[in-house]
Amino acid sequence: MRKVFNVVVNEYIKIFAKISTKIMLACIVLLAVFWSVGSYIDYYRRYSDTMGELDYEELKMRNGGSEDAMYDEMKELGIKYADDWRYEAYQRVYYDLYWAENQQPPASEQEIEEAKKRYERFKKTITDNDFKEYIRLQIEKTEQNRDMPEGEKELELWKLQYQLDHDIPPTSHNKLYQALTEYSRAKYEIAGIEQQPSEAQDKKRLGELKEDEAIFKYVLDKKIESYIIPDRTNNYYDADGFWSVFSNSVMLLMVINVLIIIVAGSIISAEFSSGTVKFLLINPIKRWKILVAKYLSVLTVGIVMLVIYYIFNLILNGIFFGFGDIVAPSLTFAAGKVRVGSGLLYVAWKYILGSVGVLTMATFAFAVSSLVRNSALAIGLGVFLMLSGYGAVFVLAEGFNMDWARYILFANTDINLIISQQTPFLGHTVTFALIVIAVYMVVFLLTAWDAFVRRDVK
Amino acid sequence: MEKVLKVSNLNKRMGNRQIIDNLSFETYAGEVFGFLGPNGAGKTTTIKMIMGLLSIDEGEIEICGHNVTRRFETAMENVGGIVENPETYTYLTGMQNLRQYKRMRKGVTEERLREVVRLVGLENRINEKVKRYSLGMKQRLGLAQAIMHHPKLLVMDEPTNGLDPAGIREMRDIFKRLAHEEGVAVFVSSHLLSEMELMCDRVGIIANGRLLGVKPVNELIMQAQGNQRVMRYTVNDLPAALKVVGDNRLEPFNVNERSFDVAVESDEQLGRLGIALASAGIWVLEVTRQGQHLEDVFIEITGGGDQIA
Repeated sequence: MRKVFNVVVNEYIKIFAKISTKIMLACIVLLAVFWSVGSYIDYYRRYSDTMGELDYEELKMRNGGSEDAMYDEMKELGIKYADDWRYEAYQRVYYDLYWAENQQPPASEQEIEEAKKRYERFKKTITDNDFKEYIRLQIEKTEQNRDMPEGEKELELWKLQYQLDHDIPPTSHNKLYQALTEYSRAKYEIAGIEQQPSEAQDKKRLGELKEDEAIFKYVLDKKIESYIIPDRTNNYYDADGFWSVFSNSVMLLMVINVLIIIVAGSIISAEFSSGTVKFLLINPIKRWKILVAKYLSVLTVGIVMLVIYYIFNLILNGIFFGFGDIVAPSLTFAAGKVRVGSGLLYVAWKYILGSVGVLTMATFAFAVSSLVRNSALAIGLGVFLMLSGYGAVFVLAEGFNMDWARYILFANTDINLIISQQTPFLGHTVTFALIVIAVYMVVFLLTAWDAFVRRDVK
Repeated sequence: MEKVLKVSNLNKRMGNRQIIDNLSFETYAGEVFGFLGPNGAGKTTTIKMIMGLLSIDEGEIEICGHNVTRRFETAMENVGGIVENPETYTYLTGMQNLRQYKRMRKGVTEERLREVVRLVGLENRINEKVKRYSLGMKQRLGLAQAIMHHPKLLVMDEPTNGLDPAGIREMRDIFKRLAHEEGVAVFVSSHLLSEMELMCDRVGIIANGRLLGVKPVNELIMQAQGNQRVMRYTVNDLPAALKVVGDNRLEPFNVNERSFDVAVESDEQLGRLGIALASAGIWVLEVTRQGQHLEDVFIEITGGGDQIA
């Protein structure tokens, strides 16, 4: 053990003394900088005008004049910011009247008259900036609605009453309002599915909906204003803020993977090409111990790189988007209960899942490095297969209907993709993927062992 | 005498070529053992098998009684050396390179590192990156690497490559001192007999993977020079001297401005030539015996030139 540890120390000194490693570490920091800055610029472009102070002249110009009247009205009402509840409410009120006046076939005089009256009453709540009164009017309007199915109506009334009871303004900028909307959507869909004879697909959907229901109920009960719900393909509850940018940074692990392949692909072959292997192997340490030490070094350097990337993303995103949301809990549903976790751990978990593929490719490059004793070949092959492997599998599976392609390593390396069920194979589970990866890893490591421990050093 | 290295019936094939053919010899504590042979004779292959870099097809190698294959770690604790060129991590400093080996060996202190650095004469440059070292400096660093852990067996593969004459002498002295004062068995390979002559106690000669014989070095030289030796004369009057040589029925060669070589068969011939030159009034300014070629030694030892590659 002590010998292996000492060789690991040696490997670390060699790896980190190289200029190329220093450049790689700088690349990782730069990558995090690019990711946060890029995401922030994108965020700023899309949301700055609506999140910040509203510029009605620009809004008018952008909409080509058809809604000039509405924007003028809003300006007059003194709605300055998009997160003002009145920004969305007034648009709803305006369109209510607009459709009444413009629907086909045309509505009766009486109906239009009613719509106009309603418009005036609603507008008053907006002028008074009284969202409770606005909701009361909504309740009244919903109760009078004869076209709405009974179940839906009941749910809508419950939702409005809830807003009233808990002081939740009706704006999508309010996270409780979002939760309330999602909660009633889930309930509505559940009711829909439960009424019809169920199919297999519905059953799965029903499970998801019930999870949603439980999670959003939890949010509402505890009045959690900032939260993350993991394992959604799009984390739309936090569309572009800190958490989505931070958790999506996992997409760029591929770049880190290239760097780790460079380390793994040269750690053995570089000793051969420089001739230093002869001096490494004449020490009183068995070859397999040196091999184990080198492999441990590759793995831990890989992990160090991932941790650096994680920390820099965390810090930089915090700087750009603010650290305010950092304590937001991540909410998951398991074994009949809502689990409250840390958002930081959730993203860390995504990184860990992402790193399975990363370390698999590193092991591949390590084995090739040991087998052919040529850095360029090991690195080139590793990067090539990492970039093209999944594409090739996808073509085999989708283009040629070859289901056996699921046994190819590259069909299984992206665990995050498998969890979100986006691979082209039916019933593709994480367990299956991990077993396939384990088999390949054993083959790679045995190859590396055979080539390094048994072959002559010429 | 303590037996440090024991090679018995060693065989190695590569493809269908027999690289090492039934090689057996022993090296003792306190001696400098020369391993002499032309390029391609199997010197480096043998050394690589001693150091555990190549597998052994047949036969055994023991270091201090420990089998190199079966008890690799214990055997290697007693060995230090340089195989082929002294390769180093060029992006590390000399000292960082030495610390790499320190971590892999038992009982080497920082104090000992400073001591070996002083011994090989690298104190001033040891904290520089090795990429700025000359070949000679790398050779010295390699030696420091090889001896830091007080090995009982020191294996040096062509150690004087790339050294200047002063460096060669220094290295020679270090080997002799390690062997004669510290009781190390020093195993040195070379293709130059002249070098062996100056530092070795015993010499083993290898050609085509076979050991042709092991002899004390002075015996070897004597044997090689038994019948014929080449003398270089430097004289004041070259044409006159050449005439005298011709009169003595000898053939001068390598004729230069003031010197020429001549091969003599016996002491009598040499003596007569001296008298003849003196009586012709020629001043002999210098007479030196020329180095024997390795090939000549082989011819002597094997009794014929056929076996030399």
